[in-house]
Amino acid sequence: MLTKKNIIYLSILFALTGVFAVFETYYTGREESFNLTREVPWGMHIVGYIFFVAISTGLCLIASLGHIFKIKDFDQMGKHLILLSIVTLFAAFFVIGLELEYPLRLVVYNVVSPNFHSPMWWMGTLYGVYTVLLIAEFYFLNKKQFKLAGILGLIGVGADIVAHANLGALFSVARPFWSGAFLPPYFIVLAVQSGASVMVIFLTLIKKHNNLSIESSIVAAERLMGIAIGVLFLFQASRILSSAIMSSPDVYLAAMSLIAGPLAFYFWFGEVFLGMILPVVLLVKAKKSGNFGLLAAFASIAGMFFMRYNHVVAGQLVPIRKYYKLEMAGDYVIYSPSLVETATIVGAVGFTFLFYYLAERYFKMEKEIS
Amino acid sequence: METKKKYVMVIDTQKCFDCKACTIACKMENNVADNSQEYRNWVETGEICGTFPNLTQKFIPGQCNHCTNAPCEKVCPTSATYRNEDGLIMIDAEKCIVCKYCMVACPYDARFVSTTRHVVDKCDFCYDRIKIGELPACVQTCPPKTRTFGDLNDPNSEVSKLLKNREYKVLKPETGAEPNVFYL
Repeated sequence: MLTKKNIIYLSILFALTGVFAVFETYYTGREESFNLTREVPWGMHIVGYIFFVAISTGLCLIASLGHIFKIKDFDQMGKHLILLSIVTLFAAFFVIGLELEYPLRLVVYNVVSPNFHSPMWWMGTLYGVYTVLLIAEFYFLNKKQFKLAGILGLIGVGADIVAHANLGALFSVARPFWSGAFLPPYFIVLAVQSGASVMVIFLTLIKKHNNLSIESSIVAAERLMGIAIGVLFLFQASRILSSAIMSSPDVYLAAMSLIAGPLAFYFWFGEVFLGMILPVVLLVKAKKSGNFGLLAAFASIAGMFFMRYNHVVAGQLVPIRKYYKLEMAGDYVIYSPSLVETATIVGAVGFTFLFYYLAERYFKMEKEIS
Repeated sequence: METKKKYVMVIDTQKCFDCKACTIACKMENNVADNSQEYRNWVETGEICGTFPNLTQKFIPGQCNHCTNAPCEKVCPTSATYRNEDGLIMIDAEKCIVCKYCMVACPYDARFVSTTRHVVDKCDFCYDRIKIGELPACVQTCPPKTRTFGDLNDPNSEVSKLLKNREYKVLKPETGAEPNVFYL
């Protein structure tokens, strides 16, 4: 069922929905195509952006740290992981490119009139540096200049960690529910978890399609995924409990929107069950069969998406103009993503698979193990 | 940044009876689109107090607070949101990428995506009017004179006298934004 041909056909179908999203965004217009409002200005695109950026960050971290610390299980698939990191980064740029009305202005005015106080300026700059380093690392890996690639990888990891921790800081200066000093490290753990999950998925598929003996790399990625789930559980449990028990009304109501409010299904089913419980159960079973590991990774990455959705949306559901009677719960703002917003994310998933397979073929990496 | 002038608005909520003339005047003056998402100012309905038949209700006009420590100015990546020489928070439409970071950072819901200007718009205290010595459109039009506008650095201005002689508060002081719209 998961033959290369089937996956490519499915990717093309997904990518076409992305093309539809691009057409609708520019032809019909953002106001008509997106369900974003004055109260909820950040929706599915921001969720998709931080989702794909986290995967890219996680993959780069795993690949580069594998190379630096000579962890053979990660290092031997380093080139595949760096390629995947580049592809997912461009998937993130695709999503954010549709969100911004003037993405090119960001490139120009990031240089011409920078605001050093803005975490978003730092995000743009650091991810710009990170993109260049990532592509350069892959270029030298491809030229078999491993020493130079290693140095670039090391610098890339630095830029990568700072850029992603800054992404956490970007949120923490805005809405009350997003604030907290732990957000930057939380984002790094999320990135490792996402990167490890995607690594399990792609390595399992690469192994199936190309008959490579990379079982040890898959098992190592599964272990990393399991550890990251454990750390995330601690992070998330302490965050939700502290928000629900001892916090300001805004933060309390945002937390309650997850526990027993409009986001309860996404929280309990998506985040807790799919993202944490199911992967752990499947990983325990994975000792017996490789397919359980693949299922665990799919469940985990789906859970990670819900986790980001809940993070972004819950922060905006509490009406900020309720100067009086903030305890009036039930007056949450409503948001549900539009068809075009959802199609953008589906398209980005399609582009990721499609461009990965195209690049793998172009660079003749199918059978390659470093 | 210290500026010569410190423009503020003082709002006497006791006087507001929710006629929304300020909202209409603002839309006309600033070419704000006619839909439920786009408005530079608004009138919030407060809670009903007392017991029947002795009931009272407050109306709270709102808009951009031109904060001294403005979160929207701090988060704008391209400096499209900036403080001008008169201390007002303004928007350079050419630089705005519509990332909406200012919208999520503003504690007062003062900003919105404008379909006429294609920027994340907000109240600018009708800067084009005050430059030529006129009052902002909402202040000019308000029938019961709920709103008073002026320079707080001028001790003889009406706003200075009001804030000296009356009790006042600002919205969400805990955010540290130091808003410049005062409520009597």
